[in-house]
This record gives sequence, structure tokens and C-alpha cells, in this order.
Amino acid sequence: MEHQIHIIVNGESVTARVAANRTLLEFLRDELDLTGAKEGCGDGECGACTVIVDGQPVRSCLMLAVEADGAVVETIEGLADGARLHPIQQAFVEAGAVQCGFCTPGLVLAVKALLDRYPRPTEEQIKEALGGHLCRCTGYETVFRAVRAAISAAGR
Amino acid sequence: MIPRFEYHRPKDLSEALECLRQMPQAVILAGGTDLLVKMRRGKLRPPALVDIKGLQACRDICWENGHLSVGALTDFQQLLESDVIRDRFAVLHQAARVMGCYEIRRRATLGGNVVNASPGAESGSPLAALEARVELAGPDGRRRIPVTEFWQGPGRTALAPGELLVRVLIPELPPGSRGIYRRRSRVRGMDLASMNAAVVVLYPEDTGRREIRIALGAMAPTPVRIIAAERMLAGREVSGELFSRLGKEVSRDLHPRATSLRASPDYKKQMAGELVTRALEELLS
Repeated sequence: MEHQIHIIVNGESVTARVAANRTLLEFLRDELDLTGAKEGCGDGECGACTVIVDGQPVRSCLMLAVEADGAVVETIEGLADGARLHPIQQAFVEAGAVQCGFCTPGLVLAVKALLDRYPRPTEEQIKEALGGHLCRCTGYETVFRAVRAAISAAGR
Repeated sequence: MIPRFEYHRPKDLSEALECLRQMPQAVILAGGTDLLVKMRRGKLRPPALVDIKGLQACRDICWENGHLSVGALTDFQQLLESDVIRDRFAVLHQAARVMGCYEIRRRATLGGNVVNASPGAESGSPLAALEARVELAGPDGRRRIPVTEFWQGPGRTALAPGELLVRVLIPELPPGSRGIYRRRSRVRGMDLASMNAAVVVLYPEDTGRREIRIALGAMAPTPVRIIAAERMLAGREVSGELFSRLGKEVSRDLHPRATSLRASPDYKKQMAGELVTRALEELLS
């Protein structure tokens, strides 16, 4: 059975028909060609599929596309302003927080959702926001450095 | 790929109950953090999902006739951010803190956690120790039963066909009551509990009136109250000698299954005694 959904993705209005069993992740990747969000585990454990739905970071592998009807969705593709990286992306690049890059879109969006909630988060809040994101390359320290740099860049 | 199913999103409770009446095999979708994983792995193949996120009747946390009413759709982050849960039901607040990660807590609901009836569910032992009841709505109206009767085994509940869980009712505790939730997991980060313990003390300062409630998760087919140990402690000065017997008493009648995925039965039994003893030492000091 197909359902009509209407969502705003990265500021653009999208109307589509989706099968009920289509996840939001599959819809974004296969229908909209937004391949930044990745399927890591498919169980909600790794965070690689994280996108922002109505201001909150969401595991798009555990959300049906039809559940997103009426929502505002932000993906990594919507962050940069043309060739100009978003300050969080810039901070990740400068801190060396990107290696293989598989977890990066999810991490960057989790940080964006955190800073949208708390522009000056405590160390504890940063840890809590990133607690569900696995990264096998960086050892996380550079990610934390990037977050701190993004916070102070936003404060200037 | 998740196998195909029909999707329905009723606008209110009566519409939802009508959906369930027409499709007795349908499964309720709330946060989906367990359900969609099971469906993707082929462990569950419901022909239809009834998404209840539009049901106002399942939202809100409020006091009602000496109970805190917690809507089934309350997510774990809401539990964590609720002042009343933190101040009056610390044991549940502490369980919410260690549940999943931020993204999961934002989606996973209390109602879903209860209905899944996992023996080690994060809210299981806290709700058992708080003597919570669940309110079910069905074709014949509403009924309330203690959560410990609602759970009947791993993944099995007293939910009848056509019924859905509307809210969880937690009886108010006397002022000054205390609670502690403790768990063990294989890694310190995001992981399911190997076993967990909830201890609640009513009238902690008054030995004669004192009531101690102990509940354990992932030690039996459902979260369980440990009545024998509670009786041993009731109204008595809890001293070194009693503490030293408590550890064994806590798990004496429990037989965690040998095929447990996360810890051996021996480990669980020893650790249950240890967690409860330490929690009580902290609660009564």
C-alpha cells in the first residue's frame, strides 16, 4: 500500500508516494539521491543514518518515510551554503575529525541539533548528544575538539 | 528492507480501537525503536501497523487521584527531563538516564518499553518497585492491572486482542521516599542491561514504618519483585549482619536462564545481591 507524503527536505518541498515499509533513510537515499546519511547497522545502534527531523536528531533507519509526513527534514546536503561549508563542517575539517567519513554526516547533524538546542553546551551535554554515534577512525578526541571549536566560532 | 505491511495512523483513541477491531493481527507502532528492528530481522511479520503517535489520550504526564499518570507515548527523554519524575520517582528517572542514547530516548516510549515485555527492560524493575499499574483501552472499555500482572513472560503480556496501553499509573509515594536504579552491562557505553535492580524505600528515617521494595530485571522471564528479601528487611534495623545475608536472599529463588546472551546465571545472581545491597546501603545512610 502506498501513501502520499509531503515533507520539507533541506528547505525544499517534496511530495511523493511511498510504500509503508520504506524507511526514511531509504527514501532519502534512493528517491531523493541524498546519500549523505548512511546505513551502518540498521538497528539504531551506530548513528550513521542520523538526520534532523523537526529539530531533533533521528535514526532514519528506524523511522518510516510515511511517519515523516508533514515534517521538516535536514540532511547533511543542506548544511553548506553553496561552496561555503557550515561552521560545524568547517570545524570538523580543521580538527581532523573526518577520516573515512562514514559516521561524519550523522555526527555533524547530531552536533547541529545539539547547538540548535543549546548554543553553549556543557561537556556533559556534548557527550550525551554524541553518545549514540560510533566512529572507528578518530578515537573521538578530534570530534570533541571540532565541537568545541564550532562553539567558540559561533560565539565570536 | 522491512517486509511489507499496511500502515494506519488513527487520529484518536476510538479510531485506533476501530483499527484494531478490524485488524486483530495489527501491531501498534509508537517509537518503533524495537518494533522496526524486529521486523527488519524478520522476527515479527505483522500484516499491519497502527501508528498511535496521533493519539492525544496517550500523551501527558499529570497527577490524578493520588497517581502520576504517564501517557504511553511519553518518550524516555521526556521522562529524563520531567521535574516530577526526577523529584518524586528517582528510580525511574535514573533508568531513563541510562536508556539507549539521545536519539533513541527521543523516540522510544514508556508504553512501548512496557508492552515489549523484555525481561531486562529499562523501565521494568523501576515500575515493578513503584507498584505501577497500566491502563488498557479495548472494545469493552478500560481496565487497570498491576504492571507485574501485565507481564506474563518474555514478549508476552495480558494485552487482549483489540486492546492498547493508554497510560501507566504510578502511585504517589510518601514524601521523603527514596529510590535507586542500578544496572550492569557488558560495556559502559550504549548497551542493553545484563541485569538491573530497582530499590525503593518508603519512610527511610522511620525504622518501624519503613517499607523496602526490591525489583530485579533480566533475572527471570519478567521483571520481578523480591518479596522474601523485602519481608526480611521490613521494619527492622538494617545492620551489618542483615546486609551480609541480604545478598544471598535476593537471588535465592531466581534461576536466570543459562542461555542468557549477556551474562551467566552465576554472575547475575551474585551481582543482583551486590547491587541491591549497595543500593540499600546508599539509600539508608
